[in-house]
Amino acid sequence: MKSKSVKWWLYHILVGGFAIFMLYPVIWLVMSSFKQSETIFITAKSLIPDPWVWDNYKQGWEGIGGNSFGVFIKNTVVLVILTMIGQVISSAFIAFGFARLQFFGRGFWFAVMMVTLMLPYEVVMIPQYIIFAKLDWLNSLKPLVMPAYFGHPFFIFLLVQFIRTIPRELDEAAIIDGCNTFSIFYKIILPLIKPALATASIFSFYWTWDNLLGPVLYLNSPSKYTVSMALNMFLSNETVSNWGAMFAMSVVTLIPVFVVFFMFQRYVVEGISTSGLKG
Amino acid sequence: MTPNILKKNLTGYLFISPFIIGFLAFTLIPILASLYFSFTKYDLFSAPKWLGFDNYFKMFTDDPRYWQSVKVTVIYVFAGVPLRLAFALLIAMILNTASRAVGFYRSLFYLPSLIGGSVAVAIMWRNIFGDQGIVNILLGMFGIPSVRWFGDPLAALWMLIFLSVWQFGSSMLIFLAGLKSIPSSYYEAASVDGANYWQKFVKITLPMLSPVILFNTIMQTIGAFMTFVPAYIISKGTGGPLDGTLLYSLYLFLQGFEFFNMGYASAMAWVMLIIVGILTALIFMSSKYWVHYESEGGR
Amino acid sequence: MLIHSLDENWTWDDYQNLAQKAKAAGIYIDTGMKADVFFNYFLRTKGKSLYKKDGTGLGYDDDKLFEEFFNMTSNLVKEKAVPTPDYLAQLKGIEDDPVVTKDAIGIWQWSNQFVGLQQVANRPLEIHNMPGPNSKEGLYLKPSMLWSIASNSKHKKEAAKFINFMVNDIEANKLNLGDRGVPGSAKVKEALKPLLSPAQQQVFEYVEWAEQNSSAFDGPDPTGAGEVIELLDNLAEQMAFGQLKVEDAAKQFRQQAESILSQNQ
Repeated sequence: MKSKSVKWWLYHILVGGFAIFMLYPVIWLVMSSFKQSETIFITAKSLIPDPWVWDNYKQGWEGIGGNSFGVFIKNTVVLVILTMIGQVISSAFIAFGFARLQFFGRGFWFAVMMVTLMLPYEVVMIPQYIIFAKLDWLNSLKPLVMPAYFGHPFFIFLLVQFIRTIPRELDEAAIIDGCNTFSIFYKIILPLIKPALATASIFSFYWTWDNLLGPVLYLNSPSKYTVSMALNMFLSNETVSNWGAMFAMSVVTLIPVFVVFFMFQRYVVEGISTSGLKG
Repeated sequence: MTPNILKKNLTGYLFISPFIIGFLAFTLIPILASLYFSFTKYDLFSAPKWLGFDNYFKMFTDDPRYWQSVKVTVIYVFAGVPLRLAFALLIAMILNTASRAVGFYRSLFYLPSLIGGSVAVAIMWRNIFGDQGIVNILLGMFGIPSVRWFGDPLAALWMLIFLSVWQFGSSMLIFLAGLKSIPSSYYEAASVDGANYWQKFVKITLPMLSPVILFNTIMQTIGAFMTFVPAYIISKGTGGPLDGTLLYSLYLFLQGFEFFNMGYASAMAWVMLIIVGILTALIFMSSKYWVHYESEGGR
Repeated sequence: MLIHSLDENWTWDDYQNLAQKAKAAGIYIDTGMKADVFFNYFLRTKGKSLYKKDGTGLGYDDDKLFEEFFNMTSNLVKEKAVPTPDYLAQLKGIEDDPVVTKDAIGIWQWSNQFVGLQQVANRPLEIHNMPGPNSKEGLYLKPSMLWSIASNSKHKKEAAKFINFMVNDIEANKLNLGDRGVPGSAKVKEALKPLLSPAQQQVFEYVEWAEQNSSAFDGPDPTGAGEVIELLDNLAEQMAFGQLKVEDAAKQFRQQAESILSQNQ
């Protein structure tokens, strides 16, 4: 039996120690959710709650305006899944076009895409709202979900960079084997950028999960609210905020995100072990 | 135009058509509208009033807070982005081993980024940097005197920078994906040739990773220029103390939505767009010299 | 040393003396005053106001008034009777305000915030009127909410009906219980009285007293007030940090505020 080397211990102590250090704020958040709401900031120095209460979770779950927190989670899950699928698939499609295909005006459209990335949202927000109002899409998921199916510049750029790391000889070999453009996309490129696709999915998932501005603008009925909106409603500028409930529900909503991340990150890791060009 | 080239063009456009359609439908008009607004005085309630270049003149010659916000943002970007990327790469490399615990650690390091721009995080961050917060306690343990994070504009800005660096997880993940895409056969061949760790890093890892480094650099820079939520929450919407945390996007937001100078805010947005665009173009142009694409030529 | 009660006709000098005593006892007097609100009050006690009636400029000509008021507030910070801005920046909200944690004697607030404060402080608190001289000229009843209808609204009648409901309907106000401010309608006030908690009663009584001891409200803030307020807050912060001399701040404020407000011509 091989005994654990000093290196193994050193690695785990350093990395583990650093991880705990990095996570202190998160640990603080979780511990605070079990403290009595009014005492959270007064006892901020000590991590351990005394007394340990579950009230915040009970209270937080009651939600807002007669909608339990479960409703908000459901709404958010629907929004996130629809968005994620749209963003990742459409971006992969578009990225293939930019990265692999030659066509007149490619550079121009690529530049246009990069430019859309650099304009702050606050500024296009209002004209966009007017457009959606005219389309009668207000108070629905449509303004949030529909644009997802037309690619997202961040993911397009990410996938372009990854596709460009794949040697063209693979494409050429496929063409010789009789593949058309679409099957090159589907059979060769797509499988090889799995890590990038998984990464994009993770980002898409939690950006949409955390997104507050979009839902605030376009979802008006409490029964359609998302988790981010609900969390924000526990806070108030002028009166007492319900910190306990907010922290508790933040923890609750963190769990799905963490789980999804944990599931997907395996794919990020399973990269290709060989370059695919043998012999 | 030969039929073959026509076909190639059509195929190309077919693939990027979703982007073009979405752009024309949802983005082009708002962008043009915001350009128009930048030349007007627009308070969101009454009709815009044409001002010509007045907004731009005011910004560059008559608004000290504008320059303050530029200074603050430049420090934030040029201090924060390299730190963040360095950390991300370092941790990604450390985690790029095949042990089982790695997946778990990876998730742990990524956790701060997951709770992202949420309000809870910003609030918690303020608490940690308080006069009696954990950061000062830690500094005390090393004999360093307490820092008045909220009392000094530069210290307050570092609060924001640290928050951004703390959330390096997303960059780390992308680096990890990139590292995993490097065929291990390259490293094996190098070992056979007698290369040591540092040589492998410089000759294999960095070049193979360079497209990803380019991506991360550009995206982090753009993102840093547009940071808003942490600055808003940590400074309670004021950009304080003494405008030390007045990031460009925060000032833009204040102008547009608190002072109702939407025209001015639009002008600010376009100036930022131009600057970030130029910076990105420069980075892209430099990429010819240091970025290596496997698909476009050999080693 | 105990202070049992404050005189109704107390002045700013009395206030500053009280602050010294608080400091000597190791606590703060309060957490400072919101610059635009209290400077305006101060100006009103001198027969001036912050904004001109038509909103195109400042409502006072003598910068000495600015210096008098802000010298007082900056000195309080310098002498540590009032906490510094960075201490204040770390407060999360009402629950860790020094008056709640028993580290300060009082707090400057709008009267309807009293109920929330009392709840968190969890001990009996008193409302006291503003210091003078001339507190009657200075004080005003400010509507906590100014209901308005957009001039290009297509449903003006319905909007008016809604506002009428919120202001005058007794059942609706019974649910509100003056949380957003004491109701303007005397009829509604009478109907609510029996339902009020002791803290809410204190607020209603104070507002009734204020009705008799105040002068006319100057009207809603002019366009651009948001910027002026931010400007004043900024300058006040710099003065509190000791980074800007009060005389210079007075000049800067006049110059920039006038330039902002002159756009309302």
